[in-house]
Amino acid sequence: MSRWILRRLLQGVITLAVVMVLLFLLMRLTPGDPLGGIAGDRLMSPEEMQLLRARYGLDQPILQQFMTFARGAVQGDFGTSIHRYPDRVGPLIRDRLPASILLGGTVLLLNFTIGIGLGVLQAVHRGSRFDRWLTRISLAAWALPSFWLGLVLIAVFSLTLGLFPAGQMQDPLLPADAGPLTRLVDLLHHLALPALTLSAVSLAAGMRFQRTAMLEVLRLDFVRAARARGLPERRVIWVHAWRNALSPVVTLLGLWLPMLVAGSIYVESIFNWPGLGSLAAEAISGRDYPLLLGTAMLTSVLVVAGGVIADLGYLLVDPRVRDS
Amino acid sequence: MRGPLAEVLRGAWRSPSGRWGLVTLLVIAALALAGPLVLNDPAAMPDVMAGAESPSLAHPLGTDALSRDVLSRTIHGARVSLGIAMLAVCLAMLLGTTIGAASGYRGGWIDTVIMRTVDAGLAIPRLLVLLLLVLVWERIPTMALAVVIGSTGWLGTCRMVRGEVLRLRQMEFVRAAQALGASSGRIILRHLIPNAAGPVAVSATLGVADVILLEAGLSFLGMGVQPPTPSWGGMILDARPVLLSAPWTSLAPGLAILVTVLAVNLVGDALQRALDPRSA
Amino acid sequence: MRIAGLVLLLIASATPAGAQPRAPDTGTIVIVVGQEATTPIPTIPATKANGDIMSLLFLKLARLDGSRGTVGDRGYTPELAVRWSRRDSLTIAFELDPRARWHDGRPVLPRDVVHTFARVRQPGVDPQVRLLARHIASVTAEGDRGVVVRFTLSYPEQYYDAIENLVPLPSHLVDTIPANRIASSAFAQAPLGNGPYRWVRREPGRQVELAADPNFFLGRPKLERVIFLLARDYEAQINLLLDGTADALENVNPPARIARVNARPSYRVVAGPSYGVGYLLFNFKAYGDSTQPHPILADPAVRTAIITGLDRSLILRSTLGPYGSIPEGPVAQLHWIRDPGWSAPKADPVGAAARLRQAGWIDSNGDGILDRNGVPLILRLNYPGTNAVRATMAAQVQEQLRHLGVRIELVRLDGPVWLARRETGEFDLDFSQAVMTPSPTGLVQSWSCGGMSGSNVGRYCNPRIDSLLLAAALGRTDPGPLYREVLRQIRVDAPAVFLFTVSNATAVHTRFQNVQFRPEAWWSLLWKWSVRPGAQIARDRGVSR
Repeated sequence: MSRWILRRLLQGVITLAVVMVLLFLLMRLTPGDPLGGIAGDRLMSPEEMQLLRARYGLDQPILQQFMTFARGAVQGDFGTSIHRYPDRVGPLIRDRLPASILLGGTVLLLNFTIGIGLGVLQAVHRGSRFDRWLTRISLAAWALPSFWLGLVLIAVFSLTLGLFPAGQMQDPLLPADAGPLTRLVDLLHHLALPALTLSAVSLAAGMRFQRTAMLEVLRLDFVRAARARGLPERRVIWVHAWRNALSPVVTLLGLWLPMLVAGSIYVESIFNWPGLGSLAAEAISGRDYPLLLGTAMLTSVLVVAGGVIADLGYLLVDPRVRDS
Repeated sequence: MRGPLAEVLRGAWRSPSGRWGLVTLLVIAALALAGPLVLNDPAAMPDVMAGAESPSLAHPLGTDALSRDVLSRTIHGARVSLGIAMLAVCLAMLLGTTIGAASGYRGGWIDTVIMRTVDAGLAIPRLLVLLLLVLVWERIPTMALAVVIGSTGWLGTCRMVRGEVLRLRQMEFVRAAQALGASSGRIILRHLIPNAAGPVAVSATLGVADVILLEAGLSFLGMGVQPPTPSWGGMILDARPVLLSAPWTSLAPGLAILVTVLAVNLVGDALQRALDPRSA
Repeated sequence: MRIAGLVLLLIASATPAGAQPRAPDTGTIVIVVGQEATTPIPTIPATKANGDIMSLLFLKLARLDGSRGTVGDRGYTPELAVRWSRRDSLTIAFELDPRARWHDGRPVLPRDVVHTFARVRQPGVDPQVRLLARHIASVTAEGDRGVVVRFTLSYPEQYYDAIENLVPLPSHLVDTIPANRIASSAFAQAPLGNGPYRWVRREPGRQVELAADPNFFLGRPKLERVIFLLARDYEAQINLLLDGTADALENVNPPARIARVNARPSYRVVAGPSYGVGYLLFNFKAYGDSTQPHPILADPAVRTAIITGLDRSLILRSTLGPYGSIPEGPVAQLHWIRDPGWSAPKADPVGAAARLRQAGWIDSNGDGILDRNGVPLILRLNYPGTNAVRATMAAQVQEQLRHLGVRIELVRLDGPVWLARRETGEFDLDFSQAVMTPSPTGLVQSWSCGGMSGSNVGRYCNPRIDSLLLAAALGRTDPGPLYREVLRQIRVDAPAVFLFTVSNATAVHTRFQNVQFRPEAWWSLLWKWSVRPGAQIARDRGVSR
């Protein structure tokens, strides 16, 4: 077992190494000077530009450039941001991580409770009108572009009904000495719409997986046996059956990590949520290649980590894998 | 029609939602092909002073803030979106199937290298890769956009086809063909790939839905289809200033995306259930 | 029992700490802005964001009022300087107000002005800044309140130059910071000034907070807190206003947006003239290569055809409504050199098409785009995507020119990237919007041959303009006709399509009274505003919502 874990981790590391090579090649595809975007407030003198160029190693042979890049990447150092000069990429990403985790965590919670729960219920009432309509609605939601849904929700709930703020993470006027409860309420108030948007368009996946997994388990003998024993139906479903159909939960967890970045680019931009998604969007419009690279690397790490965690989770949770 | 692909298609037709999806898609495709021939110019701004006007006889879906006809733009956008999706998915399927089949059949260190690269590629979110590529190429022509999107979408198919090939190459008919002296290319092309057609079809269908959403998102960011070519994502972007005062300008493209992607997903879903009835 | 305790806890934590009785006209204002102010201090080339905050933190010797004439010293109101006098044709003496204080309590001394001038002359300072102060020979202290400014030559706008370029920094805090380091220094991160507002803090990427200086010598500001809230996205800005988070937003255009604001009873739109001019700048040199002439735009026939072929009036009216007008050149509504009798000629697409044809442009392959010698008439138009007015206008320009056979490719860019492309010449057409200086001498920066090392990114060069501007600045004769001749020459040379000069329409919450703006420093009079009695809302009383 531990050998399996070790092997799996090694696989992950190799994958990340290849990711680094791919990202490096991608970045070198950019024609002209990747530093060409620096100007703006004209804070940099020609001497400083020269230093930057040397720092990025742009005057060195390509293999050397890669070694510098790789060394930096391993330490989490991706150089200096272009459009937020002189802030460094690493700290910029670190600063935005909490907001992303907050939003992502809430979405995960929603998908977990609502999505998984409904998926189980669908399986139990398979073929009913409830089941069929829920499938249709969830497929429709899955087909929604997240940016459009976000705009519609803002238009309805924020601008027309005035129930929620139209963006940002906190009230700019929140006094510095505000109590924790006030802060929490303010945060939830701002969190509601973006979390709802992200949740709506991603709910269907969890529901589908759970429904399928649950259907498989419900077919099995031991479930019938449990029913025959006269156990209450709720126990049969949630305690006996669902416990063996937990792999979708693990899948969700594994998929969740990468969603923190790529999945939330549109929603975070529209709602001005200061997380990694909006940072990526800013990096795009600011032609900030170092920042984009850093974000891509981080996301890849999250994806690989998510995959490893998911595989470990399957070991624990899926009886078939466990027995093999 | 014979063969495993035909069976799967027949299975899809049997389900009511699959049928709905297929019919809807055909209608959309027909509109996209024929519509532009009868509709007015989607870029024309006949009366800029009037701005966005609500739906009327002259403009069944109203006009946007620059007095362009929304119906015309929506249908033209369908042509663009479906065109890009078809092209991109064809490219992705071609790349994924050939590379996956060759890799799976060959085995050895080539297989390992390719699969490791595929794993790494799958670890980087497609959207970020696309953005990095498109950022480099500003004002990307629509054709090139389709190619770029397609060239980022073959990894999943590749892995799946490889899995299928690994499974299939143990089978009798393959061994028989090998014994008869058939070349590997021939075996791959005539025996392995057709048997993997079912899952590839499912993957392709779901891929189309993905590409439509991806392209809409890119256009919404201003990085996808470039004006004046109309696109659904671009229409939503333009509609932002008048979201409340002229809701039809964003509803039309938004619903268009929703209906199209839903239809594609339903078809893909039906195909998948036809392949694997236990998940129904 | 437990529930009661919980409820009490809830109530206790929801009550803001430190809520005190406050004056009835005091308040807090939240202003939404689209750009971040990273260095709001003098001697750095000011962006609008920096300039707005700087005008609240740092005072000038005097400020422009009323007539906006920049010749001589009429039309200035004392600020840091309580009076001034002319000693001779090359010397002006200012007397500082003894009540002026830095926010740390130290008095503002002549030494500060002297030091600031010394900084402007240091090698590391931005060339733009040095250029503007080039006619000042020396600045010396005289006594404990006098500042004597000597100029290199006699010209009409000496007062203007002195006042604009000698914005003092606190010498006791910055004298050890060299000019090329001040932008990234700790002082720039938390500036200390002498204006009506004090720096409180900046949350990077989110907001800047200022607080009133109760000891401000010209009168205590009634509004105690000013927050500049950052929202880069144009839609997000208006949303923040309309959902009640923000109290004010500048440049609310187009008229549809203004209508949205007016539809809300708690907001109104205040419009005032501004120094803003919008134009499509032609690149005289090749895209990204200033050594080669532009293959298409170097030909004046093409440029003139584009100008006459565009219906500028339609573009303007549909986008800005009554809030703008077509300028005769790079002049804003407020400039005194404007010719009120001039009006834009009507669009003449037929004549434009003929002109292009005569210049050899025909559609030889039937693709709807004119070409000549195998070169198609395709031009890239750069514009900043965060500005809805320019985005809409650009789309209209593209569509109108399509009928002429000119294909415009819209390149939508983010702010800093757009600025960078301007400077490297990576554009065919650039949708510029300049906030002109009150003085027409500013024309030299963008429209003279000498300006090619500065803001003249289109590289338009007509030596006649340079000599006319020089003669006007020296003022041996009446500069008025000279400047008007400059404008006429610019019209003839056609270096740009002058599209609009715009009024600044600002949305303000109705609870504010005594609302005043200054065109050259829009928010600088915030310290005169107050809240209408009885109209205070939660934030004015120190509670957040």
